[in-house]
Amino acid sequence: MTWLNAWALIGLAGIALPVLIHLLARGHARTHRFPSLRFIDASQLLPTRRTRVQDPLLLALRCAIVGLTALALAQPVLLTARRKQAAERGVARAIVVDTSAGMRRITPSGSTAVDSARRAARALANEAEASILIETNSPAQALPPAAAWLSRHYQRSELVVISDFPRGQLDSNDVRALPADVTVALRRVPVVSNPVVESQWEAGDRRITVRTSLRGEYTDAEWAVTNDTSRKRAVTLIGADSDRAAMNATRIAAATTATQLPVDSSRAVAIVFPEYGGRRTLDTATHSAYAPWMVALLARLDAHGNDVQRSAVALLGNQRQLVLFTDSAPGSLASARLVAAADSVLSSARVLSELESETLSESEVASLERPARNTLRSRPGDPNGTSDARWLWAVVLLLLLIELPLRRRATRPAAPAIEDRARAA
Amino acid sequence: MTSSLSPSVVAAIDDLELAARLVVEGMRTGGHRSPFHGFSTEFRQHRPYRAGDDLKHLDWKLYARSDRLYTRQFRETTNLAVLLVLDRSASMAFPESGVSKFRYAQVLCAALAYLVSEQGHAVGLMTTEGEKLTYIAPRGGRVHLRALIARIDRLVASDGWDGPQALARGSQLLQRRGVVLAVSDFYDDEDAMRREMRRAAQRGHDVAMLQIMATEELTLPFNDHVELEDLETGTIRLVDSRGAAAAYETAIRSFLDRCRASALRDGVDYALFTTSTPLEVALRAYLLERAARPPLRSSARMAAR
Repeated sequence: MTWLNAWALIGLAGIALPVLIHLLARGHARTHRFPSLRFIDASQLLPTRRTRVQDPLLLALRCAIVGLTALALAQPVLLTARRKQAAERGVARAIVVDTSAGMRRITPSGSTAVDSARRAARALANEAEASILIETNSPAQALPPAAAWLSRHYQRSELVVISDFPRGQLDSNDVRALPADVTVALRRVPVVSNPVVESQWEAGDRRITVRTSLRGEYTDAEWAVTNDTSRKRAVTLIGADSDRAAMNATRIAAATTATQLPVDSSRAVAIVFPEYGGRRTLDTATHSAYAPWMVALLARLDAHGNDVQRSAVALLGNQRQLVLFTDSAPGSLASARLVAAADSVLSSARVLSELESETLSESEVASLERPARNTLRSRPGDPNGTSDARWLWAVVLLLLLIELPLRRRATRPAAPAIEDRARAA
Repeated sequence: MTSSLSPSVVAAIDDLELAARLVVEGMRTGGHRSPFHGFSTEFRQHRPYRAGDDLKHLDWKLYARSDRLYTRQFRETTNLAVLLVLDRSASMAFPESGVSKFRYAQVLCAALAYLVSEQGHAVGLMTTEGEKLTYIAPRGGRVHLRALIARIDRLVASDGWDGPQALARGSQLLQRRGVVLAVSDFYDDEDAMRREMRRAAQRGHDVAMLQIMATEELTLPFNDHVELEDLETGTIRLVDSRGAAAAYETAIRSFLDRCRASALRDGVDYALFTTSTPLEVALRAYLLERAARPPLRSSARMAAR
């Protein structure tokens, strides 16, 4: 049983009303003068006056009418199996899949956690009448737009977050900010507690592969360095053909100055050396729409006293790149430092400790969940919705019909039956 | 046939004599002979004239035919003495609004007095005023009737009624056998009243028990918890009238049955009048019933002059 308008249940307190009226309206008994009391049984004397119910049937009937009216106004819905099924189909479900680094770990089934989460999300989406799938590496930030999407649907709203729930990623404030009628379900993706994570990045012509394994209190890191010239580099060195050997030396020198991390492929930097023939042409093709990371890189270069003559943004090889015009000769220490700085800013890798962050306990996840409230929203254009209130109204009407003669009986003087008999005699 | 006068209309007439006359006239609509036996002067036989006989009783026609003097002898009844014993106890004042039992009884007594007096009988009254018994000896005549009705009109239902004593005293004071009509609700000592009724009947009186009951007291006409004050004793009791109604109805029905049964057993006439019944209708029904049966204890006596 569920209620479409549960607030109306407050009306049940109105049951006290007929009782109060009954007790108060009775007041004191009126005194009537009567010819003789000899025929009135002494046992009819009343011990108390105010606590005794005079007409319990009528009182019970009136209480029932008030109570059933309150229940009918609350619009009860009897949850039969068929209705439950229909209600389940009527769910609008927003599914948020966590794609943060922690989800790269392996589940017991062998697949990565994020793949497992995606499969679960698709299954949940298929069950719902309307669904949306949001992949994000920050689930907390995806909750408000998901709630906004849910508010546009009249079905029961359910928000599902599929994640491994690292601590600090999602908290009670995020859930509390959601509308009250949104059900929040958190599905944890099981991951093996001893993951092996492989990270790769490049340094010059070399590919560096690190396999990290958590072994209780420490981490095993297995490094492998291979030559790889096929990959596109994020930092492009542009110079005269005669400087090619020098530029290669610069790249190798830069790779030795810093530990390289996985590269954000959306970022790219081009360093133009002084002897490059097309330098002037390139200079005119640039524009000044800098991305924030470009500004950050330039600020860092300035701080270290690099001799970047000027910078610009240009479209090179179908990629928007930060172009740095330098006066340093390729192969010089200054040029190697410049390449290393560019390399470091292109890194998108996170610190290794994030890979095995502390996760919320089961009880903490359960406390963040908001259970289904069994509230069925009335569909637009159907004022009664799926409510069973009409049956209660019918009963109320029936009780009113019964109450009427009872009330008349209570107020009508007793029929002088004896007189008729006496007259007949 | 005229329509019946409702008790409330009759009771509203201040002039009790007029009310009584209206009742009697209304009652006569059906036409019937006198319900009170004993009044007639009918011829019985002749006897030879003796000196000293009243000449007006001489049968002159017979003298003309036979040339002998004969005196006519009549079967003669004395005037019937009717005594109305009117209960003016406080219980008769019920109901306090509308036609009370006492007003109904007053009109009934006045109508009976009017009827009896008009038929040439003597009518008297026994009741109480305060603690004292009031007795008006039965007499005939219009002047006496008016005085009697005026006296009845002045009576008020209040305390100080001893029904059995009034009945006993009244039947004693009737010097010859007559009719005693006790008009009351008979909320007295049942045994004492019954004893006095029987005693009066044994004295040769034609005793009638005319019981007046208010319609409202035949049931408990309340729906709630009420405090009931006994009009006679002043006792106040809190009663759940709905719970007590059935038992009360049974008790009062059994009381009425007892009254009727004891009256019939003791050779006493009985009639129940309810205040909602038009008086002339009830009176006519009672008198027709009374006229239809032979006199219980005949008040007619043979007397030869």
